[in-house]
Amino acid sequence: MAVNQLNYSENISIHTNEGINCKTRKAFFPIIFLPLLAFALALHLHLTVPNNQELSIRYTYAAVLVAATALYSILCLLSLKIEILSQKLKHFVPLITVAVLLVELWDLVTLKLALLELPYFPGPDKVLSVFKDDWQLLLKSTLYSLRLMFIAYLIGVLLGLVTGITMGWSKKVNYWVTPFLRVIGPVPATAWIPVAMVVFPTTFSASVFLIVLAVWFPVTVMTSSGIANVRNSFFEVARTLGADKKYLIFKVAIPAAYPNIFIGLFMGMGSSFLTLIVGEMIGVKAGLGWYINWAQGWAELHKVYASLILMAVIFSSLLTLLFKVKDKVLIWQKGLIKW
Amino acid sequence: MVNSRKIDSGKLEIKNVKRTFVDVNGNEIVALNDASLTVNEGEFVSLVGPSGCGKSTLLRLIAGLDNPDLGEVLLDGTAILGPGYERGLVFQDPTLFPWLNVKNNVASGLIARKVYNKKQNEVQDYINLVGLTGFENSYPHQLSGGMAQRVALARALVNHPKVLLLDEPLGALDAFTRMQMQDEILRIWQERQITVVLVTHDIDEAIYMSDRIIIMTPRPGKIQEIINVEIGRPRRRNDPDFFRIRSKILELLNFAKEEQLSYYL
Repeated sequence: MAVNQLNYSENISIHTNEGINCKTRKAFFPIIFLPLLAFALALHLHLTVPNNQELSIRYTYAAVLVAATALYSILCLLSLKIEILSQKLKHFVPLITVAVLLVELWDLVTLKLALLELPYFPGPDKVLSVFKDDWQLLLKSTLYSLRLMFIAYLIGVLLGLVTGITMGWSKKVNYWVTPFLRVIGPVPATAWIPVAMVVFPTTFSASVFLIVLAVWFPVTVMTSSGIANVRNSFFEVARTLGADKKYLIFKVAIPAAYPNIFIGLFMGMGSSFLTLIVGEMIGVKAGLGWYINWAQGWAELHKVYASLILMAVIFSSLLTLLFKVKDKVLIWQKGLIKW
Repeated sequence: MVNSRKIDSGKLEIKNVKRTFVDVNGNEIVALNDASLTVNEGEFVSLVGPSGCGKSTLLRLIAGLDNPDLGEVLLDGTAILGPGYERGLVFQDPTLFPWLNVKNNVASGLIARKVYNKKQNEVQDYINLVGLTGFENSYPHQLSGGMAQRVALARALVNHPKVLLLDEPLGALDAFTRMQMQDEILRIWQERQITVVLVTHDIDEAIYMSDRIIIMTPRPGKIQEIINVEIGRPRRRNDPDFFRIRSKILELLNFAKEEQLSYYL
């Protein structure tokens, strides 16, 4: 470490105590190699320790490790030029390192030492191989799930916004809709599965209905309470500025309720994931929920794990996307919910 | 920059207005009783008095945000039935729309009246008028209290109101910002020659700024006396006439008597 610090000391503009200088390049360089060490260690263990589960290595895991190493190295090189990237990378160094070591631990306790047994606990090599062997079905399932979710989420959000806004605005609507909301809302959407299967002609439309219901409830509740709680002085000021009813609703009430509306959108998205997966298990032609169910039926747990990983990636990305939209829309209100 | 308007409108007539409220216990509270007042075109009038004297109620009646139980409020001879852009209002809390930047806050009146396309160049004029050039794209949470109040002022003024209603607009500002803003409001008042009705707790502010001071007393809220401030403009804050008027007002409000003094302490 000391040697490295000497080598790169010419890059430093601020000299501070060794303990607190992690923000300068001096300390950055030794740390940045930690993930590379972890990658190397994982690869070494994976290729040299003999297998104890009755499986042969498919080299998928090894290939992923090599690709990750290459990607990380490229990022490191780029971070020499791009200051923001180097900040980000520095932030993620400990996380990447530990994550790689944990995956290798998974490899050791399954494939290598067979402390956990097949078929329930396949190692990373077997799980990652699913993406290679079964990518067509996985892709198809993903697209089916996304299609179902987008259609249903959009309908649910639109209905929720319309119900919530009219409820928040009109006392009469509020009076008549509140009982429905109070009674139907808290029932988990999935409890409607038997009814939905009878009422709707196809499983697809039944699934759409369930997700719409799951999204509609939180979006409606948060929107209407958001609108009902808008400070009266906003309306008073707007009226003295010459605002008509349309302006008061669309340019005052709704923007003022945005923070609440977004909470509803997040809650709705969460319950839509749940309902999507459960809904697909009751019977669609393809979808991630269906895939999990089907793989479980064949006791192919490596496929279950693979689709779990895929879901984690997709759902997390969708939430992140929504947060990005929120940050853009709510630029005037910093630090509302962090993701 | 901003066109001056000939003083031919902006006359307010408040005729025998009564307004009562019912409190949580069901008791009737007379917020304003038999109040009559005429504010001339282009005049600067202050409403002064302790809490509960009905000065804010009177301002809300003029703004049209509230309606009198008895009597009527007229603007240029026409009864006021609701809020309108010809009576601009600024609260103590600037009440800027936090989701709009400075430029769009100032423009909101024009947008609400659907005249933004014709008059959008005026937005910048009013931002300049209140001295916020360069802050067009800032959001309210990035502004200081004084800056936010300037935006609120510009937002009310962009509609070319005949009457500007100010409900303790400087009450939350520090002493120096307040004096600075008083001068700015006076400058705009003189430039635009609009009628201004100012509600304030601050007697010095009322004397410094107004042509006439309406002294109001509570329980029931009523107009007790009207004082003409006969000090030439521009006024100096240390003018000896200030103290004369000040002690007169304090006397009217019962704050100058010795036995009352100990009571209020």
